[in-house]
Amino acid sequence: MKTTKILGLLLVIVVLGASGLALAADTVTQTVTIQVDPVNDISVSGDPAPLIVTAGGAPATDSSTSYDLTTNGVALKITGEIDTDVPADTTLTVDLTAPTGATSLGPTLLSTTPADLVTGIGTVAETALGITYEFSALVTAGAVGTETRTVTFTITN
Amino acid sequence: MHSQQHLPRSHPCRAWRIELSGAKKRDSRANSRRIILLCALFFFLYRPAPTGAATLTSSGGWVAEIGSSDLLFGAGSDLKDGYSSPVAATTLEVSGCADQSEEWEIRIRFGDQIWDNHFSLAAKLTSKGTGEGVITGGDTFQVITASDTIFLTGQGDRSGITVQYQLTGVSIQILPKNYSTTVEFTITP
Repeated sequence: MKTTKILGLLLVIVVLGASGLALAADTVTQTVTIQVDPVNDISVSGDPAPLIVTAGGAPATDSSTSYDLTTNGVALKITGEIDTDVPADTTLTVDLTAPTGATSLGPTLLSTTPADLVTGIGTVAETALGITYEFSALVTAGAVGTETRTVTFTITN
Repeated sequence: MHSQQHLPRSHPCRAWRIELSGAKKRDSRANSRRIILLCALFFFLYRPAPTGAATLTSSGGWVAEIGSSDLLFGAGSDLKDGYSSPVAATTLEVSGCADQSEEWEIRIRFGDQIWDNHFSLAAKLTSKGTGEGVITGGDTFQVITASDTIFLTGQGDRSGITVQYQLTGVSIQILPKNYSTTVEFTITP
């Protein structure tokens, strides 16, 4: 019995001795962090041509500009607003072409309150999406001189 | 009351004891041979662990921030695919080797992850550091996986071994979030 134990012990020593170096592994860890920030970038190709109308006449439209869009979020939308309301009895609308997978709300009145123009925007990177402005004036608008408005497009949740 | 049992003493019993004694002698010889064999095996196979087995220490890490400034051409374009860390994002040190001939290898693998499957992370050696030992391997970016793969091999103590990381697979399809992974370096003799 005693001899068997000695044999067993020797066997363990042999096995451990042979694998002794393999047991000497040492591990260290490093952390790599990738921080992906929200990307909500929109740009326009330029300013539209002047929109000139006659009171009570046909509206003026411009489709000469476009916008580029990159987003990496989900369920985003584009709103539009102008810095100062247009004169009484005149209207200014804008219609944005929706990127893939999103929905355009069509011609939408612009005011100093942000209005939804495109909804349901996901992860996209598209260029040359159409912008169409339309300006009209009722007869009651009377004579309005040349005025300028700044239109602001915003990507938001 | 005490009862006593008396075993019968007779010649056959003594004869049996003599036979047993003979068997013990044979077993004892066999066991001695086994012990000698195991001892011989031990001395042939045993490679004593160096008194100072190689140990590995590390410092550093990498935080990559990806955002609008990484768009290829501004709005309408995608994010850059690849990003590189500083050249010395991680510094490794091998110490405790018995002498400069003690061989070791460093394996690399991913540990815990909050990751996106589009990402691919690679590492390469940017400085072999200093020390009496030598280093080979790690000269080109090696993609890190969940399995241990040999990253470097070397001998002896080395300090100031620097590692650079490269991330690829980034696109606008990756949702905004903090992703992270641990990179495990394991040194084995």
